[in-house]
Amino acid sequence: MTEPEEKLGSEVHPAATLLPWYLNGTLREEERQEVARHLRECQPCRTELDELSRLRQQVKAAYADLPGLSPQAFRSVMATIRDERRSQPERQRVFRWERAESSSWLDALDRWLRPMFAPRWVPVLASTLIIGQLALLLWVAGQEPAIAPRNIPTSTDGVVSRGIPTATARYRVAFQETAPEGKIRTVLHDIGGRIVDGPSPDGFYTIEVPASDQALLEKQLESLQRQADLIRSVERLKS
Amino acid sequence: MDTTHEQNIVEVQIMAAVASGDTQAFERLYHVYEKRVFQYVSTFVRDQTVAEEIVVDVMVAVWRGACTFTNTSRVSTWIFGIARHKAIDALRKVIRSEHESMALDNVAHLPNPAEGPVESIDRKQVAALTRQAIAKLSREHQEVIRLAFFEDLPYEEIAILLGIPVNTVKTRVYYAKQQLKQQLDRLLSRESVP
Repeated sequence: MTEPEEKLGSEVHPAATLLPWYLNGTLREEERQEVARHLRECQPCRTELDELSRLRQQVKAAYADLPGLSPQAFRSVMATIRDERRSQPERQRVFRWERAESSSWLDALDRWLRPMFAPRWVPVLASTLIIGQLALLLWVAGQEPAIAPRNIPTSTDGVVSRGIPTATARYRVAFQETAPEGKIRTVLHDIGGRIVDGPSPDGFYTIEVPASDQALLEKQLESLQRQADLIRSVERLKS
Repeated sequence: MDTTHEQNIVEVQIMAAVASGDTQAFERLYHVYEKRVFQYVSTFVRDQTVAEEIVVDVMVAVWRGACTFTNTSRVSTWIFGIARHKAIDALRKVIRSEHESMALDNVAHLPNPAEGPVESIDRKQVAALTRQAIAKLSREHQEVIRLAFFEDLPYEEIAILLGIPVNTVKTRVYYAKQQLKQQLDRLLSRESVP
């Protein structure tokens, strides 16, 4: 509102400027009562009100008699709208004030995402992608049994899983004080074992190994017992 | 609660339907407003064909923009606001293309289907004289007379529509009414001379 305010002469009653709206019934209740009070006391304003009332009726009659639009205008508007509906059938139209009332983050996300689904081909593409992903997931799941055995340590397998196998055995081992750390690691690697406890006050460690084959365990124990330069004592713990 | 307020509540419901893409609701809104918008636009542009084209633009804009209606003003104020912008734009284009230097006030002209000789002053003739009187007012006065006396808009809504202070609306309507009365008295005294 940059326009300067237009002023009334001091002889004009402020209530007189409200009379058009007193007549059309759009004043707030307190204003309406104020004007009604003023009218009871002011003869010139009552005359003004009568004059305005007459003029208002004349203006209404003057405009009511005027011709309206041609039917062609209506056809033109409706044709434009039909064309737009054909090109944007899924257009989401929501009132702004309704949007303002529902302001949760979920609604915000919905408003952000919804236009992306406006083109007709987008839902088809999205469904195809979902079905494709599902198919890929099923295919990968079908491949898993071939991969899984490689994770289970065996005597020939250089890779040791850090997961705990379903069956394990334990050795109680005491290394020589002079045994280098690197060689101890090699021993552990060879048997696929890991230290799960120790050292105890007398220098014993508990080593856990996979126990899928009893014969293999026996061989492991013999192998460990033979390495006297590294291992002072070894025995199998009962599970 | 005034009748125009109740009418607005109904129109807000129609607008909600239009916003959701209901073409039947739009047709209803169209028929409520076509003539009113056409006449309002005619206070800006003289050429009735141009006025009709503007109304088509306005009604299509109402359809497209129904979802942007914020319900902070009456539906009528919102629609007349669109009409006002489009009418002033069209008027500027006409003035530019014709290289006319006339002020906007001089362009407005109220169509008058009954400008012939008057034999007696009956209701229709008074209406015709009133149209003549309104047509002699400035565009600004014609506009506020229409909005306050015919459209029955509250002064706050007129202020929003015209982008002017509320007190200016009151003052302008007051002086527009005085001008209209003077013009009418002049025309009536001319008609009554034998």
